[in-house]
Amino acid sequence: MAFGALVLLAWLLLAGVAIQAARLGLLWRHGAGASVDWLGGLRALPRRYLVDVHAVVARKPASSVMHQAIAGGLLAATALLLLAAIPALFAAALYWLLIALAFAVALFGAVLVRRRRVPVRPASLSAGAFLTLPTYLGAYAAGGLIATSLPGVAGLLGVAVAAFGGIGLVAQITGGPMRHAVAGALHLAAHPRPARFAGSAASGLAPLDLDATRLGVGTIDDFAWNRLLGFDACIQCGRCEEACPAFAAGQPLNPKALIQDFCAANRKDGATYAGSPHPGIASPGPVLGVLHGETLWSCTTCRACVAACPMMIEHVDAVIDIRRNLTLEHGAAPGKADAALAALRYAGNTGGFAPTQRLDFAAGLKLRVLAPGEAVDTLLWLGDGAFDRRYGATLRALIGIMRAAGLDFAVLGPAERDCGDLARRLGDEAGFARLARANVALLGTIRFTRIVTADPHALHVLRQEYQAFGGHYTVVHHTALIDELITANRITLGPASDTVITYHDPCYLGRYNRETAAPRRVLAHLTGRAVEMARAREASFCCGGGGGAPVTDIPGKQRIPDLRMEQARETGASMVAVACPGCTAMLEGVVGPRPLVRDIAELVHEALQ
Amino acid sequence: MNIIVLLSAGRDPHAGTPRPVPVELQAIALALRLAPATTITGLHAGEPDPSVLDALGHGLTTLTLLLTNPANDPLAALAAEIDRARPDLVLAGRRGRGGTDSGLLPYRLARARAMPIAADAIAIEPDGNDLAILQSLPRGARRRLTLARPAIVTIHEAAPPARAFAYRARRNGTIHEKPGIPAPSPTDNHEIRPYRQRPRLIAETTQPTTAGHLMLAPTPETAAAAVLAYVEQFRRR
Ligand code: SF4
Ligand code: SF4
Repeated sequence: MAFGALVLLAWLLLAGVAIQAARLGLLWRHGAGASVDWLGGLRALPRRYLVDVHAVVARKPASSVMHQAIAGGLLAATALLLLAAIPALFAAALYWLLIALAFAVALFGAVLVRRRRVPVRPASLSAGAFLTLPTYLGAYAAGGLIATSLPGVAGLLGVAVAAFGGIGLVAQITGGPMRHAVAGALHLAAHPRPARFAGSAASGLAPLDLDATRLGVGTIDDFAWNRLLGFDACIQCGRCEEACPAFAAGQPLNPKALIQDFCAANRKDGATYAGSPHPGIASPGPVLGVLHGETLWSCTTCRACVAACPMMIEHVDAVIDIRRNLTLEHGAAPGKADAALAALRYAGNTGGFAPTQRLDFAAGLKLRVLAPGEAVDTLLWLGDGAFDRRYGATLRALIGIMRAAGLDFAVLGPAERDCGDLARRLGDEAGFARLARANVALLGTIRFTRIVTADPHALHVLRQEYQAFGGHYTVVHHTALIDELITANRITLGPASDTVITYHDPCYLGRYNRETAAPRRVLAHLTGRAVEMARAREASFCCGGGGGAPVTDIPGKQRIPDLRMEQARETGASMVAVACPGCTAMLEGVVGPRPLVRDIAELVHEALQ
Repeated sequence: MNIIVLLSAGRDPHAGTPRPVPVELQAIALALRLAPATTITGLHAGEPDPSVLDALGHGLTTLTLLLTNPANDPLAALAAEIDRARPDLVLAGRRGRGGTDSGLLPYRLARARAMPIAADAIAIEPDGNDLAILQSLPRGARRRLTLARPAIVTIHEAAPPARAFAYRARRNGTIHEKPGIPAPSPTDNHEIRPYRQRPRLIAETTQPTTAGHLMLAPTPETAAAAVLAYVEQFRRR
């Protein structure tokens, strides 16, 4: 009796899941069109789940065990029950033992789920419907276990308890935690950046149709449907919140709340969010009917949230999509953004300098400036850091290294324009497209084998984002070049010092382009005492300089570079090695006694023999 | 109120590329405080220079382009268009800053059309049939003026800031192109010289100065003797 009822229950629950999924589907249909390779996506789904998702989940081992137990147990038990409709299996006692075992694993998982919030709920975890989740999970698992192992009335009672839990879980698919299971699986199949799962960094932004009536995302329906689907996949685990530098600094941005804002905007009944809010700002705000502009302008586009998210949600794409609308349609980028964008539009650099000043830092160095039609092996891309005297010192050191190695290199000089990173992150896609086209055209007039740059933002844009504008280049970061020169014995360094040095990964090099090894190899030649900060490599903490944040300058309780410098201090290092003009400026701007800030190029140049 | 904002083909002072004249963008912002965008038109005589078209991104919705050779004198074309459009108010920048913008044009236009002109406004309000204007004077001083309509007013950099650039407005703005009136430039036979720093004019002091000694074409010896005698007074005893 109980067995039959249990199988029936599983089938009824499956029907319930289908109905609930269809209801969610109606919500996602609000979104704009997107081309999705369903077949490829569905075929790749198991791999994306077991490999890519698991790699992220496993960064927190306790969560990983919990999720394997509860998801594995629940899915296995239910799938086995569904198959028990086959008479041969239904009759096999061993089969029912297997089902009981799966329910037992799920019950263990349910206990672990409860332990996440009881007795103490960490600040980054949500309350609300999440508090009833362990009850439903436990009821379904325990009920199933009882029904499969106890005879008679007790068994039937077990079915009733399982039905209570199962119905509760299915009900939670539209509005509660269980939504992540349905939306998460579909999101993996229909992910807007499938290249992420194929081993590529795939962190470049996609171009915008500048002739479209609506530019960027101005209402929730302007998001592509698979983006809406992605937001619904959020399980409110709070990993993005813990990773976010803007949140840590008390700026009005919590990436987790941001994603939940989008979910709320897509529903009439609005917000049921019970996690920590955007710091210091009252929700809801005017943007999309849920957000404040300050929230969006606080983001440094560091991608720490994206890298931390087990549901593979793309927060930065969403932030930029809305910024595009705010900037292109409303001219609403705050602070000094309008002045910086105007400088880019008319002078071709962020400071509004005369283009010839780009070479001022190199006075006396007699750099070779390429003219159209000329050829060189290595093109040194100076970037807008060249206008800054402090960063000029780094560039001079790099040029010294390249000369010591006897490289054949040259610069574009006054003809070089800003790569457009700032314009693009501030949402000025028109300004970016203009700079990109101008630079791609310029690069088309000369011949070179590769581009070397000391600016990770330029590296990222030239390597990943100019492709859509017809620019395909081999772009090498200066730390990778130095690593290569040392390995090939083209330069020799003196003996390693015993200065305690910690290396700060630039977001656009480490996370955006997955280059974390070369700078560390170089550092190992410079000091015998390199130490790591708690947040390094993929999990590095932003300096606060990306995404136009220094330009929009949204106030918080603290400054992001101060937080990062504190993390550097904690290692006991007397020096922070950097590899980006933005990081140099941000970290050197920290006042009071602090470790020295030196670019790897400067350290190598001093150690040259 | 019908407002025309005169726009010049500005140049970026550092890069030399086409760039709107900032104070003319402030003029647009000031016009938008006075009247709805639909009654405000930008006006330029010359070519469709990007610097002029970009003004559409800063709050203007329509722009009239009087197509003439940019080397021509725009006065006749502009005056004819003002006769046709009969604006209540014409706004302009206050001085040339390196593009084709000339600080003189508003005054020549005022004379040609016998319109009153006021310089360096930072605020404008309608006052019955007149215009109440707040004028910026040196050292932060302010002066109130009343002008009869129609009038020409030049705008001072201390006026409220320009609206931020919005790409969609720039893209969607309406541009009316009309033939202008060709006229030779009055500056055609002027000499153009690079800018030279002039000595600063210092106000006359009331303190009597010690009389100097003017020597015309002295011999080196007498000049040296005079310098020595002068220095001698400061010698410590
Ligand atoms: S967006 Fe991702 S990381 Fe952030 S709370 Fe949701 S699931 Fe977790
Ligand atoms: S990209 Fe960085 S700053 Fe922006 S929301 Fe994510 S973690 Fe926060």
